[in-house]
Amino acid sequence: MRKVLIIGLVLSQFAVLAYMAGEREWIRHRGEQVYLRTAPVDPRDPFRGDFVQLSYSLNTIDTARFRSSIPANSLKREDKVYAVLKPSASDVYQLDYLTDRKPSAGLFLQGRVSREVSGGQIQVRYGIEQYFVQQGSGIEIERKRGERDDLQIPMEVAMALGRSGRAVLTDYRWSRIGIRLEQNTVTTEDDRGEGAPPRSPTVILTLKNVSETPLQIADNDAHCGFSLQTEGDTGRRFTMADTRCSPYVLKESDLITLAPGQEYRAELDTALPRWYVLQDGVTGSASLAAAAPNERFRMVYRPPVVLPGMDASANLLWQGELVSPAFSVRGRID
Amino acid sequence: MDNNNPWLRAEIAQWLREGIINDQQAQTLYARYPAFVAYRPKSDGAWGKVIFALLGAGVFGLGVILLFAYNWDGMHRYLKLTVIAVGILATHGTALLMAKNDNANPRVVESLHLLGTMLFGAGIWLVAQIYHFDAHYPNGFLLWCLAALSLAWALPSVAHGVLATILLLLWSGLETFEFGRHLPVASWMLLLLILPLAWLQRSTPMLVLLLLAVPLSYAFTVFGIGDKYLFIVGLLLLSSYFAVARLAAASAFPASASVFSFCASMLWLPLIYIGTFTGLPLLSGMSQLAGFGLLYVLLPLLFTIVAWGVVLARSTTRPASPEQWLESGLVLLVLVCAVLPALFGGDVSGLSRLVFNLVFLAYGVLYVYRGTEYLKGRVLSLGCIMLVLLGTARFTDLFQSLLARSAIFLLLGVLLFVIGLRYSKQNTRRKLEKPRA
Repeated sequence: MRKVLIIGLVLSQFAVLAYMAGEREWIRHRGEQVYLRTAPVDPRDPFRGDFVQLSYSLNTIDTARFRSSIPANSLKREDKVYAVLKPSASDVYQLDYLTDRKPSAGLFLQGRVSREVSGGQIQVRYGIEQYFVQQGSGIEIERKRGERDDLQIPMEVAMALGRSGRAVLTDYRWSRIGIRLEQNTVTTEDDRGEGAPPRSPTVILTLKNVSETPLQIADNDAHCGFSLQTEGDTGRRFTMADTRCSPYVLKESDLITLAPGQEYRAELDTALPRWYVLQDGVTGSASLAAAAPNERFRMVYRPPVVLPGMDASANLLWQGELVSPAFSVRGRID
Repeated sequence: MDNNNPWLRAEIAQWLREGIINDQQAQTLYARYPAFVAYRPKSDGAWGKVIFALLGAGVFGLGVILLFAYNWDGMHRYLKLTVIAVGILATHGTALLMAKNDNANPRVVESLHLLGTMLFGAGIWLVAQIYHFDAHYPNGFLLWCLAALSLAWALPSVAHGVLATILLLLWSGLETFEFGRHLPVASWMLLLLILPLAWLQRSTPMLVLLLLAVPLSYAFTVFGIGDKYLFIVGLLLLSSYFAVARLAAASAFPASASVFSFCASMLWLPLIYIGTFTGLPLLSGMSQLAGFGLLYVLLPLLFTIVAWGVVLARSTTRPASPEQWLESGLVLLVLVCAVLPALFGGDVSGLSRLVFNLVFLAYGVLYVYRGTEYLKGRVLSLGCIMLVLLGTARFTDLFQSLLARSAIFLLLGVLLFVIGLRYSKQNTRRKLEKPRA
């Protein structure tokens, strides 16, 4: 009898591993294949070796994109949520909305809230934030991705999505476009007087075509191609005050064609009203330095809306979001 | 002795039938040699072989985990999965086949099972690596622990019990410090699922590990309630160990008494020493503790009171000699004069510091006496070190003048000199009384 029990327990060890691997194999073969754009960093796990830490735009979601009968602020850590995806160009999917109810159809990722909702941002983990590679390869990927103040090329991770919302990473490729953020810190306390608050910085964004073929991006004098996104560090919620670019509709003159290796530089003076922010619960807009000196922000490049009739001239327009490293008024870039 | 357990139980039954012993005596003997120990793996006494087999299995398993962690690109995932699956089945299978043979060394059989369970752990991380998922990774340790724990009972196997204990600690520790989740269930698992195994197997090493693991695991839970309760809960848990040690001396596993005392002292003395600096914090607002918070603070108190109550009520467990009374009295002094008033909201930081200093000094003197009286060199050294530590600790904060400080050190020096003389004298006397000793 005892021997039967031991055999049963040994077989259960085998069965547990078979189930874990089998479930993922099933998703790999039968799941929907999609790409998500990421920005990696490179740590190591003592049990599983080198891996690339993946960060998705879906990991930090504005509460405005949460659809439910309950308010986003009532979400607790470890609560189950579903990120519903919508396709964009080149099989790269983007977030449509976040919900706490399992969708009956469509593509979605199952995740869990990773910390209390703060600053109007919901932090979610999906269990696909690590990509394991052969020891040493992680450094290669890191090099290709670029340093924080250098050109960064996002990784586009291929994954198979199961019906339950569980995903299995299968492969990766590199984005066709890279981004660099530089911060002009020339304006210091010296020319503003001792004790004066810091000035909102000028940030220089460079978009570079790192592919083998030409592509198009779009921007204009108001730099409608770019928008500010808060990190929510301080627990306060900020939105852009300027609505001139909402929505940003493509004009032919805004199209910029980048040959392979060619760059586009945009100098954005965040002291200008174009980049003023509104804080929830506070009347009136203010510059970043005045309203959020301790907050970190990112610049996000988003292509404009292409109206019918413009399709032919914008056929090379790169689609997708490109998020810059985080910066703050204090001059730090992460 | 354990190999003769079935024979012994049969003999007891025969003695009972023949009227050599009565029912009560038979029950006492049955309790002393429980049936479960009959399944304990036989040993041929080759301890070197045993230790190396068990350690080898553990280290080899870790090596396999690290080998897979390299994550060859050139090795297909199906091949990796096959290697680990075949490894698990082959090691457990070989162990089961070997167990059929009466001449097989049971420790080697146990080691092979342990290796299989280590490979199962490697398999968990391997699958996570192959499919790139990191869904709450402490769960991997829990899964591994459950596999080890189930085999620990089924075989039964001390090595699996040790592995399960370590994995349980890893799981609860990672949950606490990485994810801020405090899991009392880990402490309950240690107490209800692993401690009985150590007891039934009469395994001293496993009991040592468990007795050190329980306060640590419980500390993870209390940490979530409030770190100011850690010190006091630690004192309560360890004081209960001293009581259980006295109860264990009169139990079916009397050898466990020294294990309880050893583990308790190992943690109790450092805590008392820390207390000589810090005293006990003011524990206000305890009644406002949410959920089970208050329960997990008061549970050790309840257990300690009951355990000491039973110890003092039973004549067989009550301290018998002045030395035993002193040792138990020091524990009770800390409880009554420092811990209980602090738990009831009293500001005893000053009083508790005084109590801790006196108790630490008393322990030092007691160990010096015991070391010289019974010629126990290690106990004597411990006592001397404790006295020096206390003198050094109070060097800066108790004595203001250099004269007082120098007097203390001169006194300490003389005391150590006298202790050395007494030890030497006792040693000579013992050799004269028992020349061959």
